[in-house]
This record gives sequence, C-alpha cells and structure tokens, in this order.
Amino acid sequence: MTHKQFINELAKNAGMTTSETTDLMNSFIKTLVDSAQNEKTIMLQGFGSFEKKTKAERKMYNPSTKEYRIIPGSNTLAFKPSTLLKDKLNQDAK
Amino acid sequence: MSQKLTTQALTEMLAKEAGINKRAADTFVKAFIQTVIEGGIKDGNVKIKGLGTFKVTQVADRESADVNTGKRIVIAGYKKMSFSTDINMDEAYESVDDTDIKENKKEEANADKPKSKTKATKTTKEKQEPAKTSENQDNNSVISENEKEIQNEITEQIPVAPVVTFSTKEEVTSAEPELPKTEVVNDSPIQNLISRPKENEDVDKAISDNNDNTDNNDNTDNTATEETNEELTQVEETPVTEPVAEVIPSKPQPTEIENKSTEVETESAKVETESAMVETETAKVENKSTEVETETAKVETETESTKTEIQPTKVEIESTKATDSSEPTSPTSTATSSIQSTKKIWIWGAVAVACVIICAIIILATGNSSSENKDIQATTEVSQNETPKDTVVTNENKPEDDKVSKPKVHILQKGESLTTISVMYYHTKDSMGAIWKLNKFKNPNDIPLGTEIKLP
Repeated sequence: MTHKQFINELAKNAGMTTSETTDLMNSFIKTLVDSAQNEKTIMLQGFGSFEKKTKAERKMYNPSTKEYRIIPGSNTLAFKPSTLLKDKLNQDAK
Repeated sequence: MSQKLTTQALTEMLAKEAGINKRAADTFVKAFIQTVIEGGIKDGNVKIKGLGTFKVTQVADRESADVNTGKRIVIAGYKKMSFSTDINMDEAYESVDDTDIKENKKEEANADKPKSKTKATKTTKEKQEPAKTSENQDNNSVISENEKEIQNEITEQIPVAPVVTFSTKEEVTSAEPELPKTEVVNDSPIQNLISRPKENEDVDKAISDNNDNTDNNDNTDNTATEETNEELTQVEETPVTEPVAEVIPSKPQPTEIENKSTEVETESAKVETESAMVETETAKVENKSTEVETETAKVETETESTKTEIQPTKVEIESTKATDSSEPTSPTSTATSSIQSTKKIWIWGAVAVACVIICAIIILATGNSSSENKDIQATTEVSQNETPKDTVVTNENKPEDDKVSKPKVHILQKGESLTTISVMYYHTKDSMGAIWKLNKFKNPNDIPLGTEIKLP
C-alpha cells in the first residue's frame, strides 16, 4: 500500500477529505516524532508503541580495502507491536 | 522510556498542533490505526511518507523441545508487524552530541596512527594534526582539554622533528634526481665531448655579448670582499706554476681552474664552487647561445641541480660552507672576466668543468698525476655521499611495499573453517563470505584438508 492509497483509505475511515487528511497526518507525525525525541514512549492502544532507539556505533571491516571503519551510532524511531495487534493480525489470517 | 504517552495524551497534543478539537483528533488517530492494520492485512505493507513503512511478515512454524519432557513441540507460525523508519532523528536534535563523539574518535585515531608508522611520516602527520585540532577547538569547547593534551604532546615532539624532516627532504630531493643523475653521469662524457666544439664556437660568439653583462657584474664585484681578491690573486698565480694537464691537450685551463679551487677551498666546497660556476656560466650560455646548446645546457643544469639539492642534506656545517664559498666564487668568475684573456679561460674552463670531472674519473682509471687524484677523490667522495643516501631511501621505501603485500594464501589445517580463518586474518567473522566468494567453494562446510585458500 503506497502513501497515496493509505491517505485515501484513511480519509474514508476518518470521514475527511484527502487534503485535510494529509495535513493532519503531517502534524500527527510531527507530534509523534517530537514526543519520541523527548525520551517519551508513545503507546497507541491496540496498535503498539513508538520509541526512540539509540543504535550503538560499531566497527566495520572492509576486506577489499583492508580498512577498519567506525560507523557512528544513530537514533531511530522504533515500533513495537502490541499483543493486541498480533492477535488481530492472526485472527484475520485464520 | 522515562515517560509514557497514552493515546489520550497524544490526541490532546495533536489537537493543539493541528488546531482541531479533541474528538476529531481522536477519530483521526483511531482511523490511522485501523487503516494501518487493514492495509497491513490486505497488502502486507503500508508506506507512509515521512514516518516509515509498516510490514506484516509471516513467521514460519518452528520446532522446539519441551523443557520438562524433552519431547518435540511445533510452535505454530504467526504474523507479525515490523516497522522501518524513514526518519533520521540525529539530523534534527542530536547533532551536537554526535559531533562531539565523532571528533573525539577522529583524534584518537590520529593519535594512534603515527605511533605505528615511521618517523618521517610521523612528523608530517603531527604537523597536520595541530591544524585540525586548532580548528576543532574553535568549534567545541568540550574537546579542548583533550586537544590541548595532544598539542602538548606534539609540541614536545616537535624539537625532535627537524632532524627527521631532513630525511623527508632527502626522500623528496633524492627521489627526484635519481633518474637524471644516473643518466647524466653515464651520458655526459659522450654528450660533452660532442658538445664541446659547438659550445666553444657559441661561447666565442657570446663573449662579445657577455661583455655587457660582465661589466655590470664588475660593478657588483667592487663591493665584493677582500677575500675574493685574495682568491683571485691565488687563482692568477697558480696557472703559471702548475703544469698543464697532460691528458687532454685541448682543455688545459679547466684542470688548472680545478687546481686553483683545491688550493683556495676545502674538498667539500670544491665541487660546490664548480657547480656554482658552471651554474652561472651555463645560465649565461642559455640566455645568449642558440638552440644547439640548450640540450647540453639542460643536462648540465640537471647535474648541478642534483648536486646542489643533495648538498643541503649534508651536515649543516658543510652547507654553511657551501653558502659561504658559493657566494664569493661567483664574483670571482665575473671579476676575472674583466680581462678578456682570463675571461676566455674562465668561460672555456667553466663550460668544460663538468667534462673535467668526468675526465678525472677516466684519469682515475689510468692513474696519472697526484694532484688530479685529489680532485678525483673529492668527486668520488661526493659520489659516495650521494650513493648511500639513495640506498637508504630505497631501503625505506621497500619495507612499506612489503607491508602492503600480505600473504594471500592460507593452507587449510584440521579443525579450521572459513570463519576461523576470517577471524585469524581479519579479526572478524564477517569477511568469511568474502573468502567464500573469492575461492568459489561449492560447500564451505566440506573443504578437503590442505587446500590453498586465497585471502581477499
């Protein structure tokens, strides 16, 4: 499902126009990321939790150039699905 | 982590952000969750721009053992949702902290590198480091302490550096002239023999032109020191007393000039003065003479340049001598040129000085007069001084090349696998795949013993 399809589907479900949905979606992502940035875990009931995750830096060896390279650590947004979501997915499958 | 945001709190924040009431925000969030789940079930993945991709993946059935009974149990497969983000959260907020970490690591890497390498490379890298560190100092005050420590280390090491930098200069200077040296020394006897008559003709023509310049030089000679005058008198006296060189009848004067120089100056300075004289006169020749001379002149200048470049690498005392001696000699050459007869001698001689050096080498083979042997000794000494440096440089270069070429074949022993070989050579398991690819093993778990394994 592409972004366009998703927005259309979301607009149908929310009962809004697509343009309204895109605007609201952008602000939703912004609030989500901002709050995750501030060391907060966003728990969406029945879906899962979003969280900032710190990836540690690591050493990488390139055999062709025979060089060790340090890949710096980074922060990413991690998602952990809830058990409810898992149940939903598997219910529908069965 | 520290704080938890529920769906309610998020909807409140979203309502504030978007400027809508809470109910609309709540419906939106619920619709969002619903569509993601539905899309995941329907298509398997949901792409959302600016956030990431939700993917529904199937986990296959797997077998396990019951801990209590030891019987085999099949754990049923299930679907799960994974998420990969588009967002790089470092860009927006964490940039300051990360740069600190990176720069600390860079400095550590820089500090570690020079220890393992040769002194020559050390000094060059250490010189580069302070510039880098000073730049970093301006940016971040956090690292300044570490940098200061490093800088102090560098400053402590700098006094040692000038000794080492000579070696680098030797590498640079001697590496370049190596080729011209050998070529010139081998070729110059032939070329000079051929070029002599041509040069002499042109020089005779050029003498009239040189008069103007020499007159101008004479004015500068008046300011020259008394030492040069003393030298001149010695130079003028010596040709009368000493016999003309027997070997080459066509060029008596150059040998005389060499003998003068031997009396006036030390052996080390001798060759340098010769080179300086030849430099000045070849410069004149280059300026005034026609195209024929240019080739030979270039060859001569190459020899001179090589000599002069190598000389500074000698002991500093010699170099100072060289500078002292080279300065007075140039005026002497111009001073003698004031008299036409001496002028001819000088130009003749100076053009042939390079030839005489080669002739002296020939004389060494035949073993003639003792005074010429002195000159030969001087030249041989110079050549000996040159040659060991070259060998040193080549020795320095060779081991580095050897380091680069590692052993590239490993013979498989019992109990070894590609993974252990990878760990042995590269200290990581990850290059096992590269070894596998390079050797094109069909089954990496079944390799006969004693096979030669190529290493990337």
